[in-house]
Amino acid sequence: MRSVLMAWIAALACWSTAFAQTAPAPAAAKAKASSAPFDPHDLNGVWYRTTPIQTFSNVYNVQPDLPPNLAGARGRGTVFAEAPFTPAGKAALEKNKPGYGPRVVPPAFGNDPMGTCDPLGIPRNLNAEVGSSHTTWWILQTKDLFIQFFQWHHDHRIVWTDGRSLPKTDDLDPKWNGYSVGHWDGNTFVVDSIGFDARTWLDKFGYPHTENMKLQERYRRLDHDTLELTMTLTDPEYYSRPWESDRKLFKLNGSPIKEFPVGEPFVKNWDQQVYCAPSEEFKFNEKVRDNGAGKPSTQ
Amino acid sequence: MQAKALRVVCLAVALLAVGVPLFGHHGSNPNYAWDKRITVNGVVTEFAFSYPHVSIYFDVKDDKGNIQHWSSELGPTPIMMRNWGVGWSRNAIKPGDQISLTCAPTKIPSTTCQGKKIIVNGKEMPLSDPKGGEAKE
Repeated sequence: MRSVLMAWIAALACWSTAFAQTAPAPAAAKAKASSAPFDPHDLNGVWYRTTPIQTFSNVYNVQPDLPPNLAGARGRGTVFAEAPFTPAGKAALEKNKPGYGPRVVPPAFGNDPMGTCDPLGIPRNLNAEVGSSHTTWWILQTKDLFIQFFQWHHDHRIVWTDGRSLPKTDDLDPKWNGYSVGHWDGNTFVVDSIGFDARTWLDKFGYPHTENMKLQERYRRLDHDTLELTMTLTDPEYYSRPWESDRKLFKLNGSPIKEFPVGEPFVKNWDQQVYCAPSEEFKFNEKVRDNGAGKPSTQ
Repeated sequence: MQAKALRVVCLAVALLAVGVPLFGHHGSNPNYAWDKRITVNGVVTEFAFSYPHVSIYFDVKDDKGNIQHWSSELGPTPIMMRNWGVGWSRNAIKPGDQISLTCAPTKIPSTTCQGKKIIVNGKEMPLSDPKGGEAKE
């Protein structure tokens, strides 16, 4: 645990030093980015997540006395601020066996929907949960629609912006991405959603939700290059109060239909078509994940 | 420039501190003994440049001449797609190629490992850094 603390201290000290040494430079860079003209109601573009949290809402803490079973996949001793679970919510969490985080199990013995190529759904898609070049979404806005394409799992969702209201939950069949309507509250784009399929997880740590979850997303373009997203879910059966996500920031890469800067891999490789193809996933599960965890082959 | 480089280092340290996986991100991590290395020599039977991870299947002959069927995940496919100027593609490795794979073994005895360094027909194919060396986690 000491090594984790030292790593944190080193990271913080390092970061402080980096900015202390060059105080004028980042300010100038920021000013340059901020001064570029932009329309706060225009969210079009490819956005990639720059904040580190890959889950719905986890605050990293370091506990020196962390027991081994909470030490994470690599024993680095990170734990997370817990959600405001009800007893039913906590019980639902325990049924979910993720391949990541403080409750990690080998994927061969887990039940992450991703392992069977089930859709990730909303809000999980919004987390941009991977740590590589496909940590992106692409927003396309029209007068009546707001569409997000997700690089990871090559999915998309639709937000209706034609002035319609949310239907009653009882009138909806649950859907992987729910049913969403959006409107502008000043310069904040507000998306309200209901009608979710409870088979999806909130995130890769296996946090659950019911079909009655209501989700509100709030998008705000802070400057030309920066988009902020915060989310609040309301799901009284599993969470005792509305639960807010962390503040997620995304950086603009430009539109994928324009020319891109050479040497920017995440842009150059935008159309990676990262499908979860069952034939590929299941083979990988059997040959690598299951074999490596000692799970007998079912073939 | 120096400050930029320092910030990159800081970010790497910070990510290390919070345990955000950069490599092997698709949930296979709990299988491996990260601090151990083995080197396996074999003949490729299949190279899959597909999701979720680029993976390689190969046959290894043990001391008694018996053939073992091995598998290894290399890197997240989009990262491998970056190419790094070393020619990674779905045709980069072919059945029959001789490989020497240094990898993290699984925690239990198995014929699977996570690739860290691969030499194909005597030539190293970098898994993360174009200059070669072990793949970053």
